[in-house]
Amino acid sequence: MSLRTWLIRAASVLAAAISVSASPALADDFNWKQAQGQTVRVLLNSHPWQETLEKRIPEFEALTGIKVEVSSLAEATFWDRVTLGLSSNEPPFDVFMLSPNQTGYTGYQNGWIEPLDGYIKDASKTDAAYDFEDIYKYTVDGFRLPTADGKVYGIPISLETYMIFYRTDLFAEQGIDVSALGTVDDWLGALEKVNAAYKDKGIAAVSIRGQDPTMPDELLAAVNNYWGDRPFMAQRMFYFDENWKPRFTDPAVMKGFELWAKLLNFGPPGVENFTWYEVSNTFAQGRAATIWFDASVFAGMLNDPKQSTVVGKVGYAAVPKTETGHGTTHWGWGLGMTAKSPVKDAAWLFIQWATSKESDLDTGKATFGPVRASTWAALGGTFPPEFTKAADESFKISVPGYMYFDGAREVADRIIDAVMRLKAGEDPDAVMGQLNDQAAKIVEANHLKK
Amino acid sequence: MQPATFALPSRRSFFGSRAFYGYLFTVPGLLVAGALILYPLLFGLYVSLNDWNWASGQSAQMTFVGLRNYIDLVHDELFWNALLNTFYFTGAALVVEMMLGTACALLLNSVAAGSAFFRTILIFPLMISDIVAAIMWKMLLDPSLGFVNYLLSLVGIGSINWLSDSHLVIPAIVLIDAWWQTGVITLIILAGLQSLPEEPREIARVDGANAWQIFVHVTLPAITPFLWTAAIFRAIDLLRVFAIVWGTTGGGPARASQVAQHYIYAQGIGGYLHIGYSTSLAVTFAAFICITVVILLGLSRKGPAE
Repeated sequence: MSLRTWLIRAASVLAAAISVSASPALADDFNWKQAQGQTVRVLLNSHPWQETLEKRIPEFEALTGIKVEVSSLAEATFWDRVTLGLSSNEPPFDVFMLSPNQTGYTGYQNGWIEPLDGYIKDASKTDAAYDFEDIYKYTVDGFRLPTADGKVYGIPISLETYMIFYRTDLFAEQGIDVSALGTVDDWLGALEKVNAAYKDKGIAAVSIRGQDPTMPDELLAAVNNYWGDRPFMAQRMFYFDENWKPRFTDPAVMKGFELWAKLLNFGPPGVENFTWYEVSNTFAQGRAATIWFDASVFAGMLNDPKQSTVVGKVGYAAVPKTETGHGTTHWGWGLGMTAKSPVKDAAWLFIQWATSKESDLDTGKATFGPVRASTWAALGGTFPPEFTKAADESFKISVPGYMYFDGAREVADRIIDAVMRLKAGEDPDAVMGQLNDQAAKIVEANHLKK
Repeated sequence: MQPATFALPSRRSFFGSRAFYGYLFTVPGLLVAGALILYPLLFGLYVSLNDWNWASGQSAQMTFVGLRNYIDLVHDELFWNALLNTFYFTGAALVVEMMLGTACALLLNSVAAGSAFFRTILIFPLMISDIVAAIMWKMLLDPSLGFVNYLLSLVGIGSINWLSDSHLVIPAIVLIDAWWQTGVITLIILAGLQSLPEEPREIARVDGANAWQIFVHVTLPAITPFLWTAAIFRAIDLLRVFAIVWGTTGGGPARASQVAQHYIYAQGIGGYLHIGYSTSLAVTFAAFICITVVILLGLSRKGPAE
């Protein structure tokens, strides 16, 4: 063979080799089995997302050869388990459902949670098809700690905004045209009508959270609805200004709290102890005419004939506007990894699988709260049109509803006490004034003022 | 004749004596008790002198602050509210359970046939754990769906908000605890009754005393030591109530049912993560329990001499 022929052959072989290695077909070679044989322990909260995902875990085990041990707990027990586990030197789980405000901030400060940026960017650890950018940026930012330009400490798994659900049949029976109800006062008038008509039949006008430790998250939506366009600091939300001075006597905050108390008084007996389980179940069992300021993810369960007796009678609306504003909040669960996990690569494989496009498509059908743009595009048409309209409108007017800072849990508990006292009829100025004092003491005790 | 070449240990020598082996064999038990009881106690006391706030990222280190936690708790109105609720609950539950338990014991003692059957029924609730009792009663006391309100509605009483009304919530919890633990009192008093000699009652009956007089003047003085024992044991456990509150109301409404243990839990691992402060609350509460027990023991000894 002449030198020229050899050079041409070598060049063409080289060119072929370069084109083959650059071809996307090679991306299929992502090694899902790189952590084969290891065991990943997962702690989940009882949630529609968890119920759907657990069914598919055998697929993950077959794909990766990793054994998965899942522990799913009711929410009240889950909070304790997650905190205790994270604080231990040997956490009993590797992957867990992460609430950015309840657990994320504390976990970040104590170094209990692993930042995930390194894993996402590492092509050997993350499948090219993962498409992290597909996840809505504003929900990812909620998991960036300590602020929205920090590292990512959790991958979003479900997204919720706070809106209204109502019984289309009951409202129709009372001749109430929901599209004409534009303001909170319009709706309160409608609730009076519904209350008068159905209270004695065992159907309360409103189902809303009471003493749930997470109720302050939803209350933020009610306050935002009155807050208007005024600025506020992320994480402190509306309750503290730049100098950590408490603002609970601000008229918008007071109106938000009073609205919540009013709605509680439209609730069924025992509403004071309602957590989100009771809120959604009461409506699903036909014992409430509306749900206020609660999660869009309920739509999945309310439309499931196995769990709901009111399928086909559910209406959806964004929260109505007030004289001073129109807004709500959104929030989301995520999946996190413990910083002390001995199987981090295996745990990351699980997290990326559980938050992949296929997973989100599957869980999105159950939660009605997918986190990926691609899923929303695919599923938007399958959701009831009124839901899509209400959810779209809600997301347009919503701000992230995450309150976290040192002492936030204590402030949240005092907020719950204040709302309960307002419900019992105590004077709002006295209650909110005392809440202000308590909040100031908590700020003091936690050395928040620099 | 040569004396024995080995000497038995003399009475003076401790090593090798029976007493020595006695102490030696208690060492393993003491070590276990020390590890499981003494170490956490001392560590807890030490932690209570520190500021250990996991909610500010301090989980890796503590800051020594001396008695500041104890000074802070004096001004903590939620802690005193919790103590008040605890003593209210304990007093009410003790009275209810002592009266109910003693009545049941007297009845069981006087029933000849089938007493084993009734005894099993009465102490059956003891076999379940407190959290199971709490969740069960939370459902039973549900204002709309609960069985209790259903039964009340059959006799015309309207729906009662057992666990959401701040005036009713502690009586409701007393009810739950009475259902759950009256069996303990019954067993103790029953044991006492069955240990009594029959003669004093026979004599009183022969002398013409009626049942009530026999009870008040003969039986009651004789079982007083058992009553005090039952009361003191029950009081200690009642003061430490937790799961029944956690499982039903979570301390609400607005702290009306928050008992001391629940507040300690909320300040600590269950909520605010102020571990140092929460431990100081726990130490203070333990001191209150000790004082209560000492008072009760003192009162029990002041009774008429046997």
